[in-house]
Amino acid sequence: MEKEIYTKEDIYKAMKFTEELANEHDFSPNEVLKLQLVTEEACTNSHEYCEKMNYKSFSIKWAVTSKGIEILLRQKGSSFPLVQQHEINKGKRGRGIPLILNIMDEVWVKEDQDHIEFYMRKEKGV
Amino acid sequence: MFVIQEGLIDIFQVNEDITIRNVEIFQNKMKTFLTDAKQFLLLDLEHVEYLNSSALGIIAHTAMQSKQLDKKFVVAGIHPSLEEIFIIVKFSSFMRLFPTVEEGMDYLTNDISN
Repeated sequence: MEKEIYTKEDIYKAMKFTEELANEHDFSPNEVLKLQLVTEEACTNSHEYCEKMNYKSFSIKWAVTSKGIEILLRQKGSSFPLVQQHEINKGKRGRGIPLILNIMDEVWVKEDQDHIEFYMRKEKGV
Repeated sequence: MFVIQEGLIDIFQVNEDITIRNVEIFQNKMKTFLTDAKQFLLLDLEHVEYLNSSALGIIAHTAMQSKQLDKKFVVAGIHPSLEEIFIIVKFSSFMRLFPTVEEGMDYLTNDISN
């Protein structure tokens, strides 16, 4: 399952698709909410980057395997560090990646020529 | 989303989840809430199960700004799903959080009496 994301409304639709998929595969209500959140956060980061660099869109792909729900975002650009926050953040921004790193069981970023892939995975019931 | 007053306490009741669709509205309303409230502010999240990270940032900013303005700000009615998120972002280290609106009100009422 794959979608191309152009607008904020597309991000909302992607969140809803994650919700639908997670519900279909019997993730708990709490897990479903968290999966929606990481979808929104990852997509929002990509969307902001696309706007800054004047790229049209990015893609998001979902898979459900024995390892759980896997979400992969792909866009033009270069890699960035995945930094867990240890200090208390009292500011307006900067909570997206720390939330994703806390919620998901596996997260990585990979550079592929002039594209990057951002991968997140969550096992059911963990 | 609307503000009501109970005595000296201004209460901002949020009755929907905050996502990319409505976070700008939430930001504007929180700014007005902080500016217009006299001294005691309660953010009521009883009907909220989901906040995106921008909404979390708005709440953090409000907490910090209220201290600068010498106003007392608390968050109450925290749903269990949000409680986990608030733990991840360590909100309890710089703002008062209450599981129910009643407990939040009691805390502020005690403050008013003292």
